[in-house]
Amino acid sequence: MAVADNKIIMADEINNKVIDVKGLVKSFGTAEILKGIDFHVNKKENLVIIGKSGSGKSVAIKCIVGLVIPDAGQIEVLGKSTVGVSHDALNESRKSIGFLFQSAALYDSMTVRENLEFPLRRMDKPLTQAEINSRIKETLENVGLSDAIDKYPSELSGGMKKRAGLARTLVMRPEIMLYDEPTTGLDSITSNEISRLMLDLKERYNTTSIIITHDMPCARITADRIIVLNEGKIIAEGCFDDLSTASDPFVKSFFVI
Amino acid sequence: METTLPKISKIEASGMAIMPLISKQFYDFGDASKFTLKVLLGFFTFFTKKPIESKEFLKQCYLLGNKTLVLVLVTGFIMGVVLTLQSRPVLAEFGADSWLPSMVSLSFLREIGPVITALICAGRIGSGIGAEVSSMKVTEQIEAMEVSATNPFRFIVMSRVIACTIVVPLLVVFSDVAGLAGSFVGVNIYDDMSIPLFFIKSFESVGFMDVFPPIIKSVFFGLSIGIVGSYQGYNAGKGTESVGVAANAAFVISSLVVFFIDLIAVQIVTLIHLFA
Repeated sequence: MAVADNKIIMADEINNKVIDVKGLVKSFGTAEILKGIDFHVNKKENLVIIGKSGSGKSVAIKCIVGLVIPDAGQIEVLGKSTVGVSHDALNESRKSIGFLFQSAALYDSMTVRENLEFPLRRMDKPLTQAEINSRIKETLENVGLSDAIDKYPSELSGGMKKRAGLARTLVMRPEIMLYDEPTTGLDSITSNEISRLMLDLKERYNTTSIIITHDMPCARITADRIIVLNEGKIIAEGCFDDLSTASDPFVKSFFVI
Repeated sequence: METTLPKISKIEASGMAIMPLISKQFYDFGDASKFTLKVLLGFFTFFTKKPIESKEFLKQCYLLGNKTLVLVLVTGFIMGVVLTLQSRPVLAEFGADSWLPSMVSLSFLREIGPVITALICAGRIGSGIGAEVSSMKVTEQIEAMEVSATNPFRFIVMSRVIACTIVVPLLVVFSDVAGLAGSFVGVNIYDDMSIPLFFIKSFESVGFMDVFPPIIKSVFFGLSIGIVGSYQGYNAGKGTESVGVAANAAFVISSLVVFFIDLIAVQIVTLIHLFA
């Protein structure tokens, strides 16, 4: 019976896998950043990847979205490969992914409204102006940024920029969200707000997320599961509470205040 | 076990030091050629393949033209005055001062107008594009466009290069007009010449081959300024210092390319004159 249960769980996991990474290898020059890592993310799961700076966390999610081409390995997003495929096929996969950059990467020559309009106007099925306006309004309300709709990025604070960046990705209603150090450079109060917002948006939009961070309060709030990356290898995996009591000194060092 | 390294001569050592530099130059040249080819192919699809980035293209035309027009007009006017005042004593020595408007207009239309305008544009537009695009690269805006399945090359590079190709020849026309206005002022400092007479004198020696080739030449000036500026910005490094490096390189390289194009254009026009 126990074996049968395990099989059911495994089958469920396979069906639920939204992102599946196998044997991912990436080097820059002589530096091997990722040394064959394997991980997956299940549907509606928040996977947090923690690790030291330069451990290859950002490279891993940039490989998923095709911004960095891996040297070896396989990546499947919603059952479709994103490695070694045509640019059109890659773009097709990208339509279901939202990516929040560390710097928010807002287009600084455009207002917040124009930043959100930019991807909407390039959708395969064009939306009417009324639909665009209502979607922008709704998304900005959800991230708490309605008042800044006509402001330029240079007029926004760090936290507001993150919210605007988040809104720009969410306006496309992606199934998957990739967050690259979403709380870096923010004070602890704003950092908590952004972490709670990410959790709230996950419930609201039913997204599956990978969150790259070394901000442990953010990891505690957002993580369903955590992966610890060190020198290009996954050295530990589990939920926050399990890892916080781990015996490995490197893993432990993340949880020591 | 004692291991001895093979001895190498000084020539071999310097060869080993120089080779990576040479191969980097070849790599950069190949990369720039590939970029240029991509831009040239992009011209055929920019207005036909969706999404047409017409809004960004018109915005760039306005920005590039608007921020350079006054500079071009002032420089053209001053050059017109100076050229007239400098040429007058020489022509007067040979009793040919009545040829002054004609000489200045030919010089301006054929050479000074296009080259001076192109150099100003290289400094103002080329370095501006280099700085803007490299800053977009540094702040991950280009990657953000890529991730949202938008073609950043079409949106950023093509719109700017096409705008540059159209705007620079138009600015050359404005520069020519300002230069002739300056020349009129220069002539009237010592003489008294009416506008209609100055106009007749200026254009009595001007033919089709004095107007058309310079305009074509300035189209290539605009194209090269746009390509060099965009290439430097698009291939900038990651740090903030790359913004300055890209802007500086865009100005220096596009100025050099302008002179090279001018040299080739002169040869072509001379050949046409020979065979015409």
